[in-house]
This record gives sequence, C-alpha cells and structure tokens, in this order.
Amino acid sequence: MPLLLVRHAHARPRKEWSGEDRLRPLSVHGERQAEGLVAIADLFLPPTRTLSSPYLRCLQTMGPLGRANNLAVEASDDLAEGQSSSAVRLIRSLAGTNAVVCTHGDVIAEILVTLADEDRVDLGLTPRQAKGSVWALEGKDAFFTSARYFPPVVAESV
Amino acid sequence: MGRQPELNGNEARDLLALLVQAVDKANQGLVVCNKKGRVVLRNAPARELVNARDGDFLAEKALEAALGRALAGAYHEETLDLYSPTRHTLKIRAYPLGGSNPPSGAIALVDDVSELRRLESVRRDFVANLSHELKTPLGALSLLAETLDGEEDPDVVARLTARVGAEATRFSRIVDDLLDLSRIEAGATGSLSAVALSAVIDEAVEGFQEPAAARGIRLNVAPASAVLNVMANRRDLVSAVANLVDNAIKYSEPGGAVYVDADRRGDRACLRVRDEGVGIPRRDQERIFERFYRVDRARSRWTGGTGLGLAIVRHVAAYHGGDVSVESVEGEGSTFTLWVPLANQGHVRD
Repeated sequence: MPLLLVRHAHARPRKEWSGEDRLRPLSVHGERQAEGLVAIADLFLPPTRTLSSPYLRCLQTMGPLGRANNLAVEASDDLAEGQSSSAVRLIRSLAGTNAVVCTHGDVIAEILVTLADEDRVDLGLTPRQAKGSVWALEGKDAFFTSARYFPPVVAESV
Repeated sequence: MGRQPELNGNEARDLLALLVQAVDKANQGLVVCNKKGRVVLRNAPARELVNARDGDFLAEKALEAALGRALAGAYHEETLDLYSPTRHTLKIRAYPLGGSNPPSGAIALVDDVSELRRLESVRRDFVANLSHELKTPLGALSLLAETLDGEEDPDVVARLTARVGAEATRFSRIVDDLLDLSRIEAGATGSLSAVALSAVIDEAVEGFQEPAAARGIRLNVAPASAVLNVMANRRDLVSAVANLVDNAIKYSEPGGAVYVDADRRGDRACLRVRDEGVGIPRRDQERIFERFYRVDRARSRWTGGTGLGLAIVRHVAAYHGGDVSVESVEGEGSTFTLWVPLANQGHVRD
C-alpha cells in the first residue's frame, strides 16, 4: 500500500491575508483541488489515517478526504512548515500503511530528497510538486522503494 | 598455402606432438572430440578451467553437452555461472569439425570470462549509481524551484534559497570529483617529482583546523621525525590526504581527535590518519574505496560527501605505486594508511 504525500492545495495569497499565516485558508481554486484529492485517493485502497500539518491550508486540503472516509484529520507539528528530520521520521514510521499525509512544499522537498538519497528512491529527472498534488510512496519497515507523482485534480465545483 | 606434403609416420607423430604443445600454450581452453564424442585432445588451459578443480562437475557436463550439440551439426554457445569452489563464469563455444553432415568431430573453446563479467558489472553499477547521484540534486532543485514559485514569505524564501545553493554545490562537487577521478584513472596526471611529505600534509590539513575546532575535534599533526621525500604529483597527493583528513573529521564525534603522522617503512613512506570516531563495520571495509559506496547513507547526506573521496584516494595511491588500507573497529575509530614510494635518497636525517 502506498502512503500518499499531499502538498496543500492553493491558498489565498499572503498579501491578501492580514491574519496569522498558520490560519491562512485555501482559495476557491484550492478548495476545488481539495475535492479533487478525494478522486486521486480513490485510485488506492481507502486510507486508514489522515495526518496533516496544523496549518489551516493543510487541514482544509484534507477536509473533504477525511469526511469522505469518515476519518478525523490528525494535526501533527512534525508536518509544519520548516520541519525536516522530524517529518522524515514520521513518514518513515508510516511506510507500508495507506495513510494520507498533507504538508508544505519545503517539507515535501526535504522528504523526497531524503528518500532519494538514503533509500535510493527514483524521483525521475524533473520531479514536481504542484499545490494539491500527491506523491504515492511505496515501502515498508521504515524504508521506501518507489515514488509516483499524481498532479492535482480540480473538482468541477464545490 | 599449398597442400600439406604427405607425412610419414614419424613426421606425423612429431607434428602431432608439436601441435599438442602449441595448443597447450593458448590462453583459451580447447577440447576436441572424435565423431563418437570421445575426447581426444584437451589442452592445458581446458584441464585447468574444467578438470582441475573440485566441483567442476557442472562444467564438465556442460562441455560434454556442448560437444554433443556440435556433433549434431550445430554451433553451440553457452555461459555458465559456477559457484564452487569459487565463483566464476565460463563461456563455452562448440563447433562441428570437418563438414557438418555428419561432422568428423567437434571442438569446444572454453574461456574464463569472470573478470570480464566483473568489470561489466562494475561499469553498469557505476553508470546506474552515477545517474542516481546526479539525478538526486537535480531533482531537489526541481522540487525546490516549485516550492519557491509564488512564495512570498521572506523567511521561507531565504531558507529555500539556501537549500537551492546547497544542492547546486552538491551537484558541482560530484562533477568536480568525477572529473578528478577520470583524470586520475586516465593517467593524465603529469610526471612525479620529489616532494616533501611534511609539506603535503601541511597543505592538506590547512583548511581543516577551523572546521574541526568548530565541531570540537582536535586535529593533531605529529611533527616529522625525519625528512621524507616522496615521488609524487603534489596536487593529487594533497587532495588524497585532504580527503582522508576530511573523512576523519566528519566521522568523529565532538570531543574526539584526529591524528596525522608519517614515517618511513623500508623504501616507502607511510602516512596515517587516525580518528576516534564511529568506525567502519568489518563487512564494509573492503568496499569503502568503491565509487559511490557508502556505509551510512543518512550520515553521508549530512556530511555532504560525494561518495567519491576514497575512490580518488585509492587511485592516487595506485598511480603513485603506493597503496591505501584501513583498519577500523566500530565505536573506536579508524586508521587509514597511505603508502607512497620514497624519492631516491629521500630519507635525509634532520
């Protein structure tokens, strides 16, 4: 079973948001990408856990998927922006499970490059990570063997 | 070429004896059978390759089968992987002799292609490793670029930009080391000249005092007890020693120490770089000089090694007519020893 690593969907721009960055919500486009995530996850067996960075844009990205599977989205500080080794540890602990994990672009880059370096996972020549996209990571016992990219899907309407 | 003159019995016997001796000198195993499949000639290499060792029952069977196929009129070729008594690979090719319908005999040629196989496999692994090692920082750049796109938080931008710089540096270090390695492997190193080993050591450790101190590691260079002049390409030898010192620091724990010393052993200089660091598991000690071989990938990621440093050291040692070896105990530390031939009258007492 692959673990799904999700980059949060499109959020409202920082300059249009006067509140705390952690509370910056998804844009309308991002909400449709969050709905689209349900369609991507449908390609796999239903998730057993949904985990997310505590930032609102990540929690909101996982909202529709959690509801569709009747799962509470677990917030984890290990997935917050700027994390690296703790996020990698968390991801390793979930290897071989069908958890879905949502985090930030910098954290995803850190995780993927670590897996390429340490586990020799092939990311391809020009790996991408668009907002709302998914990396399906196959592995077990804290070790990953392959990674496959799924571009974001935008639902027709919310 | 004219027709062979008729030979009398003695001449034929002499010629046959000569031919048998000649085929014994070939590098290739050669086995000839008559039309009934009975082996009538087996040269020395064939006896060496197939007969001499225990456990070559499989090889003998394969040889018989190949000759049988050839006697049936068809060229036959097969590659045989054997695991006893040692791992080796034989290539057997068998041809019908004297016309094919029916052949009047058959010949099988046997080659030990183990070394060729090993080199092919080393080359394949190297290309696969190299491709992965170059793809990883490139992939990181691609991922970081997409993260930076549209990012407005200056702190995040600064952090990501630093990561981009680090990955670009990693890429360029791999390319630098590869070019060094390929220059050294190709022997494009220029001539060797007499160089004072103490000067090489001083130059090699020069840049490391500060980073070692920053990590709480003492870097001790023993003063030379005698002047040792070695035959060397100064730049490459400095680079080899620097690689050893760099590794010793990277694999030391804070509070540890790295010791560098050199002395004379016969007609060679012996330079040691010793650390009190994590050590190298016994099973890895043979392989650490291979290109891109890493004992601990996670650690290597943080220390920023290219995976080529020790391969460079080994090649530098080799073209100097020297050698490099390691002794290590896990948890206690490692000692790398670099041997380099002394220059003539290089041993001058102070």
